[in-house]
Amino acid sequence: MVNEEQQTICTFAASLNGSNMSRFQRLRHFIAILFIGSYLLLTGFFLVRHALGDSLAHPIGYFWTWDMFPNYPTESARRWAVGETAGGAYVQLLPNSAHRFRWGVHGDATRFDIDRRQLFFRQATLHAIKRHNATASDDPIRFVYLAEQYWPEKLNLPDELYHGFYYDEVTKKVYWASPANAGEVSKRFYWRVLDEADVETDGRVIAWEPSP
Amino acid sequence: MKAFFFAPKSPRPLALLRIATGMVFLYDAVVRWPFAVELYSTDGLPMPVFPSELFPGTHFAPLPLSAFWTVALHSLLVFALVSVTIGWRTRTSLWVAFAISLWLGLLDQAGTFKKYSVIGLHLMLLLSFTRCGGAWSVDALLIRGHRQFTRLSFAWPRRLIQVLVIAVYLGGAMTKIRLPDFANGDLLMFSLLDDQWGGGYLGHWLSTRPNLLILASIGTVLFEIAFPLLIWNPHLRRPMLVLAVAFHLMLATTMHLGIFSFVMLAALLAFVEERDVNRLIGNGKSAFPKHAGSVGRTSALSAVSWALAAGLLISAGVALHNDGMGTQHSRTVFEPIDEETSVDILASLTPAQEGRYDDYFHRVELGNRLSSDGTRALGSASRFQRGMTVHACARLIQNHPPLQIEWTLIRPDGEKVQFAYQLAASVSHATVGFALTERDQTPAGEYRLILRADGYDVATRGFILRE
Repeated sequence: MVNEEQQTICTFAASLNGSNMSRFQRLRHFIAILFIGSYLLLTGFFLVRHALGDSLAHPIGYFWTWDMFPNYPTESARRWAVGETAGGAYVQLLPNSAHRFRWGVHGDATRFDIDRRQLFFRQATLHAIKRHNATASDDPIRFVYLAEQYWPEKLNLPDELYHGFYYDEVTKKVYWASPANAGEVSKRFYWRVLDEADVETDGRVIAWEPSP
Repeated sequence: MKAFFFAPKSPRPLALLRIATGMVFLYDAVVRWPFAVELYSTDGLPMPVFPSELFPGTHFAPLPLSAFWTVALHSLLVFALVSVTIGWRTRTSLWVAFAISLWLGLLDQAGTFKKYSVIGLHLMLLLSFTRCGGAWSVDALLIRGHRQFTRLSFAWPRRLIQVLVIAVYLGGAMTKIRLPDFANGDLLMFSLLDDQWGGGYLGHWLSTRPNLLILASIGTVLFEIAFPLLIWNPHLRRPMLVLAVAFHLMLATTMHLGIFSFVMLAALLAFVEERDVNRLIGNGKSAFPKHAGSVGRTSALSAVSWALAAGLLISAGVALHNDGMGTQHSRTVFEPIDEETSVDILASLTPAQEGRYDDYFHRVELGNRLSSDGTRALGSASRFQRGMTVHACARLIQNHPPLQIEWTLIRPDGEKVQFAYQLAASVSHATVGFALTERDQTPAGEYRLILRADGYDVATRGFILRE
């Protein structure tokens, strides 16, 4: 059965031979063809480049490269900028109360945690030092550490799943559970210092030194 | 080919796509609206997707605006997305939403601009070339008095959305195929365990089922390759759509992917035909023209009302925004760090502590055979028969240092057999195998296999050998 839609398509396709179109319609039609061609070409071009593992570094490539799931971490991390004041006190410069946006499964990851490139961590720290020193000029920041609190992803498992997965039926032991908490999955974490730097009295950082 | 791209199509499936896209991105915009100053303005901390340090001279780095204008712009985005959803000045609203989403998105790589944002931009742009406001919309209500029929859309914007969906799946499949850890399930496992994009309870449960992970990983790639091929077959279109919906619902329930699953569910509506809509929703009036006729534009009154409503919403947005524009400096509070934490941070500058070695290892498996790629120990982990080989396979995390690995098999009589080697930092699996063939060398009984790294005990596994 030829339905109404198919009939309309036939009639319409017949009208596309150009003779029934006004100049304006022809122009629109031509622009549409250009757009379709460009879109298909870009899609094909970037698919092929992606297939070859050669995604274009130009920003335009970001809009046509579908590389979801490109990497995975095996650790979870939270980033802090810690300032040491002239008086010897330690202050959490980042994240601070001005950074309210949160993300993640538990809604507790800041943008510094999400940005695995760490492109803006130093810049945000300088910003925070200036803000801190503006309100605490009697005890300014003199040294800063960019630190990361991190833990293996296995510790993100809820206790019951952790016990089930890491239980050895012969030794009757749950592996890598904290002995201090009577077998509960440890909420242990570690710290590592990513960068450190002296800070001038005017809030400028002298030189960042990546931690080994 | 002409008919494929230029056939007239009912606006109703496109209207569904418009409503779904509008709702999904409206949710996304509303969730971020309270943080507009922090994320996008000069008073906050924009984190551009293409920073000038990495992309000198780029045209893809829009300038951040002041807090006031940022909130105004974001409020206009919310209004535009409401208008897209209800189909009021649909084309204008889509362009406004597209432009503001792009502007603000490019200012915040960390919290806003993801691949699903890019898919959303494609959808908004392509929808703006359709008559998706021709059904189930304010626009349709307003023009009903002016003409007796519904205007049709050219097929090509919808075809390009279909191409987009297919490209997304093919691109996703290519990415996964290129990753060696995908096929063995490890990529999915760590992704599910990730506390930013990973799973809730269901995802965590799945991460502890290695065999299911392998099947899910392979199934994902198969789907991503099969969909682009089979969706064009008229007999398979509906089954493939159902499969795709199930796939994205599964993703939504097992992972924390923001609005990705819902963006894709919306985009899949591009494969819905008018006859599907008829079947699902019914056909009060045919969407096809009953007769030809001139087409009037929606009234100027609608445009003026739209602009007035936008202005009102922007004013309300700016007035209601509680981010205290201009008061960020005075509000910032820096918490002191307790002594224990500061000592821990400073102590981390010294070499790793003993406990750290446990956590270089994600899992240690025993089995009577190794998987073909050597990344899994398979078979019973606790019971072995004479003649078998006990295989052990340890999966390490990514950032481990070079390690001296030592496997020690302790027999029932306390005798030990050791095997040691150096594991490079780039290697993610450590394996060993002990043959249980000789009765005098491996007597029946209870065994222990101890794994040490750099001399520290990291795991002990037990098994029983029977004759």
